Amino acid sequence: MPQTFHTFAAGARAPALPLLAAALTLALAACGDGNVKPEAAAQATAQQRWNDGPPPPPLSPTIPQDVSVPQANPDLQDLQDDFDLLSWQSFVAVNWPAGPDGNPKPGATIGPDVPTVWENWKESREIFLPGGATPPPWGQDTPPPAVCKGLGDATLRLTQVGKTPNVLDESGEPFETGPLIDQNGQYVRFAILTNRDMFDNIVANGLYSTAGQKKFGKPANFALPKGSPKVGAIMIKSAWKVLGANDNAARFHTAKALVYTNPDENEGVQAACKLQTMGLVGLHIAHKTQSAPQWVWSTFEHVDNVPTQGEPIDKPRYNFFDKNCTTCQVNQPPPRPWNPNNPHTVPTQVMREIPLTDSTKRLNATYQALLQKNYPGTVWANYELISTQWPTKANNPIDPTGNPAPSFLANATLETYIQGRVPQASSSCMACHNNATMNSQLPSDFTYLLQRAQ
Amino acid sequence: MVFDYMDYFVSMSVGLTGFASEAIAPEIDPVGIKAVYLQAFDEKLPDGMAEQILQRYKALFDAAGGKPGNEEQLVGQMLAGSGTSPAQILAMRQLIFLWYAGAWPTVQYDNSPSRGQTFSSVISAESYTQGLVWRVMQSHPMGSSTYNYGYWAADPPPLSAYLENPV
Repeated sequence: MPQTFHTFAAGARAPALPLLAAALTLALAACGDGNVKPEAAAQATAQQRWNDGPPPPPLSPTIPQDVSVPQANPDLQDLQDDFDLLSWQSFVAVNWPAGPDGNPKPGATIGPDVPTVWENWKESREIFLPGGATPPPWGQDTPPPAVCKGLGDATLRLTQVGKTPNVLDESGEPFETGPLIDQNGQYVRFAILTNRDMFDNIVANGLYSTAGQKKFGKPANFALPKGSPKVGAIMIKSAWKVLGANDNAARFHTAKALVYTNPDENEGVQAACKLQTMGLVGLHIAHKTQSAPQWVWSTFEHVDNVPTQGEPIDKPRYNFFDKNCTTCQVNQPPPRPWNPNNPHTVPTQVMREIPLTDSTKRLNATYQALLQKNYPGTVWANYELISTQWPTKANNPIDPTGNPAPSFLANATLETYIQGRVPQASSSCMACHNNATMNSQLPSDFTYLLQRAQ
Repeated sequence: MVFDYMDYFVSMSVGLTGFASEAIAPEIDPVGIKAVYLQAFDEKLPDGMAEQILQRYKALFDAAGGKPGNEEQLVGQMLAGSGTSPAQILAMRQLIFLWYAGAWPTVQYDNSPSRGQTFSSVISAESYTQGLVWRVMQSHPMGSSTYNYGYWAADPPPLSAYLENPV
């Protein structure tokens, strides 16, 4: 039987670990029996969260400038909840219907499947131009690749067939990566866009060209001056699947897109372009806020994407998992050569390796209900937050990554093959992007985009 | 209220390692290595020994006023044999090794001049990266760095930043 003692007096310096202390009080009640399971107990305690507090604020087209922490003495789970709320607020705001100027449409509300605010931001292709040319001003389009000409209008041009290899190559580790193939045998396509604050910083500092980066001569810095009314730099990385005969398009946010196969991406692949109807399956939102110099990393997925290892496989159909396949290897990239122009490629069998926390699941349910109530039948209720990575110690002098929480975060459509919890090998937004540099070899403030400069 | 092992484990570890509580068990702690180490401390020792050591530490802690600040003095008494057996003293030394190396050491005695060898096994990839030895070195674990590209060309931060103790 465990002994009964007093704990430290309140306010004493040493303990101050309410979450884990409470969890371990439970776990170690059986210590004398050699039955210590602190991890399980910690999880059990951490799950008693979200929705204990006030309901989320109303749906709004305003992207929050920063996280709001209402708790007087927040613990780790409190703060995670606060950042998850920021993620959903941001998701709603960037997916608000766009008006003709690309800003939130006056009088509109989130719900209908129409072009969104973020889809009017600048694509990376429009910023880093051949020869390091100055990009056209905000709001002015850049012509599509020549092979796409004459194929009609599109709301978004999807040019990448895999998460850019540069991202992983620059980490110096032999990460396994590759394209993602949906259940129809089609390559998933990706696009990266930046908001105006980020675009303006790149242009003002000449960071869109290698020569400009060299001239700049110091690390990039997307931080806003203190007290700035601006929202700050935001990057969005999106993943899309071709909507085919087996897909229910009504469940997706869709876009008619010029799907461009870039011959530079894979050896021996011909340039190609098709006008296709695409469904949004993954969305990263990275936001440089005042309190998070390492950026806040929010990631969302379509709810039908993949099952989670260790949880029921209970959906009739998944976008990236075949429940009837008993021989499919999970989370393995397709064999080379990779050619997005192939009419059919063997689908990737994908499962989520790190489950969503119960707290995040509850927040997802809350927002999905809010979105449904706001606009019955909306496609936006078919998306879920996977998690939010944020710095627990933003100004740590010995760790520029700021001690991220959670330590690992992966989107099944964007970091399919590097899920898990192995340091230096598994996906961690901050740990990976902390290594990002410009072509001048100077730090690029957590973005690999600047390496695309010519 | 039951015995809050973690509080006393952290407090005793402050005394054993010389690191501040905030350094080894931050208030906002996304890694939670202290839970891994407490579990290892409990499982690697004979049944009940971890609890006995923590109870002894608690008795000394309470006798000294029940306030943080004299952890090193308390563990010094225990390492000197005040109410502790040789096996418990060895266990406390093993715990020091665990905090610094992220590995649990096993000592095999023999008649050689060095009186034996120490073998150690790393608890996990995370414990390896969390080892305090890297901080003392003002460095980072081999194969795992959170510094910015090009850090090797700059002086490291001062030792006090690594120790999170005023010096």
